Amino acid sequence: MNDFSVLLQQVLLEDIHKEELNAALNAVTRILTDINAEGKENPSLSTALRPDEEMQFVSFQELQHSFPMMQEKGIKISRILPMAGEKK
Amino acid sequence: MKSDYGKINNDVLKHTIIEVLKEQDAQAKSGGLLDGVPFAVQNNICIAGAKLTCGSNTLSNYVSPYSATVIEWLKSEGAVPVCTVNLEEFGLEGAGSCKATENVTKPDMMKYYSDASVSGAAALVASDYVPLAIASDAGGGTRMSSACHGVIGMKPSYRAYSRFGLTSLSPSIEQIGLISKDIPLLRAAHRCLSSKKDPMDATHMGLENHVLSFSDSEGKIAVFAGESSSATHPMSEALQNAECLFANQGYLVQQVEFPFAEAAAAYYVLSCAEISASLARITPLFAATAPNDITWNDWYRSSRNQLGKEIKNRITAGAFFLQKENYNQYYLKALAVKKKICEYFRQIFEIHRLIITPVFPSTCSVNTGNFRLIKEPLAVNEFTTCANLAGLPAIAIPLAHNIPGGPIAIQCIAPIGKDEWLLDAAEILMNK
Amino acid sequence: MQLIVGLEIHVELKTNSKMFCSCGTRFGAPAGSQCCPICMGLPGTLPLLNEEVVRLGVIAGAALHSEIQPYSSFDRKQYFYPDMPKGYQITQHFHPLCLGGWLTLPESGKRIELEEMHLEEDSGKLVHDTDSSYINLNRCGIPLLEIVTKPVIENGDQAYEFLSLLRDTLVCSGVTTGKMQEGALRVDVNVSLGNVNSNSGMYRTEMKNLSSFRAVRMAIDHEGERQKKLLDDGIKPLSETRRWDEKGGFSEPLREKGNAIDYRYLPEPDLLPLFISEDFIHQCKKSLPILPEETLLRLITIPNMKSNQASILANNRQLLACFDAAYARTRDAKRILNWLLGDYRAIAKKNNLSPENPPFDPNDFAELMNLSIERDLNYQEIRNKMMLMCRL
Repeated sequence: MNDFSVLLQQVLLEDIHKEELNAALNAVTRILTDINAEGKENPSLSTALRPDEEMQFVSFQELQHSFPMMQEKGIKISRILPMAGEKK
Repeated sequence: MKSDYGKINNDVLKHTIIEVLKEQDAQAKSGGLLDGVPFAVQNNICIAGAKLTCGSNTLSNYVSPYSATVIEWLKSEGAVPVCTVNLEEFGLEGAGSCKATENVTKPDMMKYYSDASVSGAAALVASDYVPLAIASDAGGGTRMSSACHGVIGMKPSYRAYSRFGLTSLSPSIEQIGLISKDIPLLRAAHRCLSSKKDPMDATHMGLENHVLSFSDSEGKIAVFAGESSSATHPMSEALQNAECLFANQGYLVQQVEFPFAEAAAAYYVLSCAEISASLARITPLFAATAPNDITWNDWYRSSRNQLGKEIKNRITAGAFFLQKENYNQYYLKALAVKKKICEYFRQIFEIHRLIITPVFPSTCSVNTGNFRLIKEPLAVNEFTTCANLAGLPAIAIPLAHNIPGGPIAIQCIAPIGKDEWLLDAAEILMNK
Repeated sequence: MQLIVGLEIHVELKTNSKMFCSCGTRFGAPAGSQCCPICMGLPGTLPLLNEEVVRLGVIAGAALHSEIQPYSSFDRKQYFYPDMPKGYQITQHFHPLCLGGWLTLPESGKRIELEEMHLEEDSGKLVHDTDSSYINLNRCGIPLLEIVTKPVIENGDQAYEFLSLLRDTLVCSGVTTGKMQEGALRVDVNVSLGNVNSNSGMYRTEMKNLSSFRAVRMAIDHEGERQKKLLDDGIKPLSETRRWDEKGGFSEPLREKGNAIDYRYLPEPDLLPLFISEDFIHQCKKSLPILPEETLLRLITIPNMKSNQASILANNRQLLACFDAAYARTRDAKRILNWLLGDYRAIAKKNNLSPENPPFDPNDFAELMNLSIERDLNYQEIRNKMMLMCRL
């Protein structure tokens, strides 16, 4: 990873002003919405919501086909040290 | 496997595709935008009932129970998925050859891998086996593959296509890309995928239908060149050719600075961070059976060990960047760089309508005819990754073939939402 | 030196479908029957936020006097465990849904302040057999609201009182079923001994997944004793996670909290941020019924009202209406409570009626109480009239 560390140095040494870093710190999750021109909060970009309805997406058989270890009690895995406090 | 550079010559594959097409064509919807068009699917995009290996040993037996939205939408317009294509593990770019799985032949699905690119999808299109392929593009995968094989590869604006069913490495910058030689076909496929919203992808927005045409809009064409770019000789020539082609059509072309030396590093930091989270779901549960006398931890470790070396490097690096003590130092800095890049593009697009760049600086050995893509992995991604980081639509357009060392291509970047301008530009540059 | 206790409560939100997919949420369904590619974390799947989860989160925020944030977002909390198929949990770390808030304990009048509340998804369940283990993913993806209190609780009784009121408030506002035996409410406790003003940098013991309020009370008091003994002997207790053994009434170490896990939080790229309008918050606030906290504070001042009686009234609208009507007429709480909560209850149980929902009109009951005083009716007479009112 030598080439990589050289390029990392570039990022570290890059003259990023403190205000910009703070702006990034505050906007850490807003970067997703920053892609458009505005750069400000855009409430129309609120995450899409799904109605609270129960619906089956794929059948149990199809799931089992992808997850062959799915059985009656759940997905079978080998012995695991139970976390103390879990039902035995 | 290859007779011509980058081309595939395989009768079995050809025959299989024809058979699958015949079989599925009968059931395909007719009268759609893409009536009867066969397309290849990079094997990190889900097709119900088909194996989704993602080019990895960890998923070698995994069958997807559902299809990606892009597959459903293309099918609804009459297109037919005819085969899956092998790829670098999970679609990694800039990693050199990290092919993890063997080529596999099956009656209805075939996988192909081409040494010169991220996946064989572009090779299939270049060899005229299929007119269209879909692949992924996190840092330039689709575009670089296409450039290597002399075909057109397009990455849309971020959020233009649904990502539901794409096994994404870096979800905040990755998109599904289209590969073809046929511009009208690209337009039709693009419209099919971007004209409505997918309820299964919360981040999907689609694109507006009516956008001012490229030739009607104001502005100059910008060319990234100059001292700050790391392009060397053969690429500069290609850029000059492109400039001339636009100038001949009456467009005003102008050189602009490309101050994104750190784009590749920021891309690396951000994508590794996301890779480490995205691949956390790769567990031994995808194997067919559970071994008996082994603890969960050991089984988990042994299965994760099957991940390729480069993937492991990136997962480790990503975990490192996200650690509490490193978060500000690396991850936030990379986000700040990303923000700067977005702002810079915004400024450029105020006066320019399009940007032209090389696809990658040529560090290939020009004379050996063996275009080894990666000598300096990150320098290669510099031009392509900035489009991913800024969420902008970008396209690789082949300009010249039959050159020792492989085809020459350039990249165009358009403002967000103006994806079709890229196809307009392709028409100009390819004289169509 | 006093006990410094903070609680983290995980509340299952009452929805038809899971937080990020359309699987059902029924308790006790056969393993694997309420799973889909999304909650199983199969490659290529993406989360889709349930709108009812948002609404219930805002309702809870309103009910607990929190500042509901117009902007909040989701993050990946990464750790490996078999019951978390994605290898990360989607939660709200950087920008939670609600900040602050409180509940006033009726008896002491003490205000328990909240740090924050946020939305997150539940993990699956591990079931252990003699020689294998099974992962049941039915619970994986169930929507949770995590409520974090400030470390202002001082003893087990306060914790008990707070949790009871919290549960009643959230059930009354329709946020959760509150069924403890179905795991609708799970509590983690943080305990340390120190001086309130200078407790930073000290140790902190965590006890996870206590399954009843009784257990919480016992565990806190026991832990306080254990830590006090150590400190008296000059030993500083370890910062660790301990497991509470309910049967034995003791706790034992689980893992050292000193080497706290670094969850490597990453902003969730598959979900856009959540913007909530002032209008929506206003609508949710308007839709709240009168909540137990408000009722309790009012009832507790009434002479002869015991706290458990107040609690029953605060949580049963019909009984409360009967009490209020009768009290307005007669001002004799003792009489009313005896009849409403004592005798009526006995009648109801014998005759297959609901003790919480008397079949008579509150005004009729008020009239009965009034009459019993005015005409100095004896016990049997009142009872007969009551039976008539119950149409028996």
